[in-house]
Amino acid sequence: MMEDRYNPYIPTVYKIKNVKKETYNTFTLDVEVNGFRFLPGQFNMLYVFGIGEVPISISSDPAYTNVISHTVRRVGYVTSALCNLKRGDSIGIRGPFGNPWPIDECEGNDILIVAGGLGLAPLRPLIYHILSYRSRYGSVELLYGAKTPKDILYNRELARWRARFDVDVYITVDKADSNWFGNVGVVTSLLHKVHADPSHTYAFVCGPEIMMRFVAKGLLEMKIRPSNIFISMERNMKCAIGLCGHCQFGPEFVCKDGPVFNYDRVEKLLSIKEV
Amino acid sequence: MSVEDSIRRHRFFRDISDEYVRSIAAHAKEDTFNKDEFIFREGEDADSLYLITYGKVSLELSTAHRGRVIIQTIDEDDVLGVSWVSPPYRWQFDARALMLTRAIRIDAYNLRRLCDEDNALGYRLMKRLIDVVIKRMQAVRLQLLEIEEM
Repeated sequence: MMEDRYNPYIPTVYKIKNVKKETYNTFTLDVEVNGFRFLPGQFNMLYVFGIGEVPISISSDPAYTNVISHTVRRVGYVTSALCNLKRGDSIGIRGPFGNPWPIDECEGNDILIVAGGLGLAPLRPLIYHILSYRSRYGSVELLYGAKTPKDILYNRELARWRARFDVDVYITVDKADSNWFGNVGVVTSLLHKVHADPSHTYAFVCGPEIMMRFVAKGLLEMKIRPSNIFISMERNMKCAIGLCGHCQFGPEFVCKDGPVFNYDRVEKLLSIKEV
Repeated sequence: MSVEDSIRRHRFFRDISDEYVRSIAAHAKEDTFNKDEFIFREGEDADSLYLITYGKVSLELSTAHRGRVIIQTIDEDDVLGVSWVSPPYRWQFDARALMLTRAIRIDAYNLRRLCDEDNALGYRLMKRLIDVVIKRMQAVRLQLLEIEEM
């Protein structure tokens, strides 16, 4: 008799438990799973039957293993189909894949989290984890930049985190009208607010590549060690196990060696157009 | 806290000698702005350098189709207003307090005079101001790229 082995190419079918509209074009899909374990920063391949498959970061609390969430922006054919799913619909999931945020390595240090746009989604499990084990870390600061106030994700969580006395949350938007009373400017303009001790700080950055490049520059100017800066990359991942080469990034495969990379390792690659 | 102490504590004047701070403080005063109060309006004389000590200020433009557009916000420990440095000394934008805001207002005419009279002071202040301008210009370039969306 054949042994029932895990095959990373075959999706497991799950049911959608809930769909939450985060913004006008971004949705969070809660999927009912049973004992699904993952680490903050990992992603799944989500398969909409008959349509296609896309890599999406897991955005829920890693402590909850019976429901996992994925926050999806409607940008293409498959993501639109994902955003159209309803409670009770079936979805295929392969995963979890990829290299997570170094949650153990950064214990005992100050934590600086910098997110741009949808980049807050892969960082949310990390934030949940750090807040669950808050005493293991020094200061915790979150800088978040969105395009406009309407693009801000996870409003409720941000408000909850902001209300805590042990986390500093700063939010900025690129564009606003006079009804907005918060910061206006790119996320790098918030870096001067950071109080963390640069020599004992781990920085976790996720957002569009160009944003991560400029944030990393700012972090280096603040004297945060390059080896303590981690970024999460995005590429066109297909197999998710480092075989097909779709997500090749210089000598790395984003699906297998990433998506979380040490900045040291990818710094030079980020400014090469061909990569 | 005296105006002189407030200037000394502000990031823009950090490490500037006491003697210079004293001479600048002679032309400075504290100002408080209520929420939604305009600190200056586009086209008015750019007659001051503001050191924000508390609160938040928006730099805005009024546009025909989009109403008031906030270009950037400036807050505590930052400087407001660079148009006083170069002729014709007119504000290019509106500055509005987004919350109760306190600032040190330094008279621009006298600050320019002090810089002209003592080039060492002038050079140090201009270097700092250039740093502010460069950072804001870079930020605006990134804003134009809409980096949060790419």
